[in-house]
Amino acid sequence: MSETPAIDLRKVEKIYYLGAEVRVHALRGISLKVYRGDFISIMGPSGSGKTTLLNIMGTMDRPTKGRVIVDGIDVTDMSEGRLAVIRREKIGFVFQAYNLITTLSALENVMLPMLLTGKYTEAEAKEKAMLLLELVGLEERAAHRPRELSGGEQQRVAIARALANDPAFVLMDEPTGSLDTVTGARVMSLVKLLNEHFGQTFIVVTHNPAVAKVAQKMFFIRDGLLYLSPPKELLEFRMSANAEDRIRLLDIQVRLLRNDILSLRRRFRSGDIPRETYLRMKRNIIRRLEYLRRLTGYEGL
Amino acid sequence: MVNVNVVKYAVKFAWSDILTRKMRSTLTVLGIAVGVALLIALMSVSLGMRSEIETKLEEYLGVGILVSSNETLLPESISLKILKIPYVRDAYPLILVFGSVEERPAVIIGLPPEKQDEYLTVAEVLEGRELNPGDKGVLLEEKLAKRLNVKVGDKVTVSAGLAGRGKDSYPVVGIVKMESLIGFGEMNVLIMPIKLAQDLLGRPSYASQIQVKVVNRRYVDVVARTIKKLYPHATITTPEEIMRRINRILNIINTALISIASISMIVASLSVMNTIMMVVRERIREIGILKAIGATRGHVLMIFLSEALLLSIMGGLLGAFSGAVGSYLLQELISRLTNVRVPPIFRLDIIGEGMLIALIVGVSSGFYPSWKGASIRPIEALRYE
Ligand SMILES: Nc1ncnc2c1ncn2[C@@H]1O[C@H](COP(=O)(O)OP(=O)(O)OP(=O)(O)O)[C@@H](O)[C@H]1O
Ligand SMILES: [Mg+2]
Repeated sequence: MSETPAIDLRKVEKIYYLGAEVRVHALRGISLKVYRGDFISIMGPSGSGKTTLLNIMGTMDRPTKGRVIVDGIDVTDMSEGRLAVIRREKIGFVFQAYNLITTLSALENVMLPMLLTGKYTEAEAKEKAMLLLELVGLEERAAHRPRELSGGEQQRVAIARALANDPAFVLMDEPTGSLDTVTGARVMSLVKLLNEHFGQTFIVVTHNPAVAKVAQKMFFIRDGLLYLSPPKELLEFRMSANAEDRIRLLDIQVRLLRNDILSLRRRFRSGDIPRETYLRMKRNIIRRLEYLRRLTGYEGL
Repeated sequence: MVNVNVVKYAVKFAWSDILTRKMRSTLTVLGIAVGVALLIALMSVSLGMRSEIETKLEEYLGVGILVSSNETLLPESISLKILKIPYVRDAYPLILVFGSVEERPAVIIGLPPEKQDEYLTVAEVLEGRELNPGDKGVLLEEKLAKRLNVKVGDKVTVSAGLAGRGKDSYPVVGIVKMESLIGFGEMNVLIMPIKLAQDLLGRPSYASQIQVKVVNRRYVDVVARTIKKLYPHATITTPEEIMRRINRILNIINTALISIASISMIVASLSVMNTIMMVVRERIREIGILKAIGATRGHVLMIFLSEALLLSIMGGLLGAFSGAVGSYLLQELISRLTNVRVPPIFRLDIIGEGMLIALIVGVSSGFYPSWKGASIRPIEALRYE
């Protein structure tokens, strides 16, 4: 495709160095192109690297390796001052909550990014901000302070603000994370509407499948890697990658179960517990053993 | 690159912050105000003091030079020779000695009767008359007359000079009120014709000093130098010389006063620094958001500096006002303690300086925490809840 992507990530890696030895490989080589008009979601569990990826796309953080190209401009090594200009003119942000400046009204919050560019007079900024608020259905709340708005309304103001400078793309990190299901759905349908009718590009990261499904295209992130289809759901305990660890944990569980069985039998024999209780607890233990057997495929249990 | 709209927002931002934290803002403003007020009050009073001394000295010496001597006796005829020096308007001999009147210690002034108005600036003759040329009587200063319970026509015994020598009695011809005789303040003063004083001391044609008046202040130094050449042993005192000495003392006092004010300014500066530090901490999340929507470090810096600036302006104004009031209170205090009334001098430049210092101190001590806040990386700021 010859069209310039709104955002182009090339083999982006991010390593957090926590100490001399300790490092977290949060992104392990992510390549992704998002074009204008796209609406994509990136879904993954907690700690999978969603926020890290989003911050790098938003030029708020720098990759350890790889390149980040925003609207055809390589921003990987740009100075902070120039990055501020990129963010101002090309990128919109919506975070999970507390997006707004508390001392400014909804209208002023939407005006602020325009005024920062120096390309709008106050009157022009105000007019456009009013239109944007109308777009998100909040023109009546223009004069309200964030404190006087509901969580959903605050998120809609944040969306209006993100659109203020006609960005190449809008980044949303868990935009419904602080909202109830119905309000969250309403916010997401607004996003969908803006994408379908205005061609606005959105990139949403979330752990919520319902939110992710609203997008045209879904990506999946696991342990710093991006997948096009949901990676085969691995057995839960396999999340800890180390095989020795797994065996050790399994061993502990088996020992705990054996302990349980022995003490249960002793208590029944000494008349400590009635027969029904004994049978019920035995069933419980057997169920847990069955589960372990299924998990590991180990028949010897 | 100054964006007026952004400045406006920064000020708005800062102002609403000040309003939401009224207590903290008030304390900070008070801190600055106290410093500025002290500074202004002390500067005004010290300026008033200096100018007061200068006028008094001017009144006393005029455009004059004092020629005196400790070692050699000054023959009164010197005054005639000095009169011939160019630019000298007048020169006359004086005797100024300590002695006693009716056993009370007093300053005895002997002067040519025709110069009494010029030298003493006799404000008012309360009783009797002034001295006449060739007079054999004396004038008493009113306080002394009252203390001795003496009236015009009574005789008083005057002694001067070394033990016993020079003791005589004279009729009092007048009781006078004198004005602005610095140095004589609360002392007893008796005035007699110089001839009589010379007789009393047993030193005919003696003078303890020569008063020299110059036609114009500009020539004081020239004349002083000429006199020095003629009489190398004489001590020559010019008003400038005296003023220099007084100034040296005043400067020491001034430095002490300014140090006091400076300490209070340092306290004010710490309070601004603390306030801005707290503001930054409360607003970390918003710094993150501002940066996410494309605010630069400069923009964020402007917001916090606006707050420091607003606080300083308010502190400066309040301080200027209370400084003005305070200097009157200080004047009152000084006059109670010392009996000297020093009207404080208000000059716009002092008030302006006070304001300026408030602004400089406020903004510069707000700068470091503001800079720290503005330099926080956006992702760190956003992680902060
Ligand atoms: N500043 C940091 N310093 C060190 N490690 C970090 C830092 N930020 C993130 N990490 C680590 O990087 C990994 C990815 O974190 P990230 O915040 O991107 O996850 P996430 O998918 O957004 O999770 P969540 O859904 O909980 O927000 C995690 O293991 C996390 O502990
Ligand atoms: Mg996250």
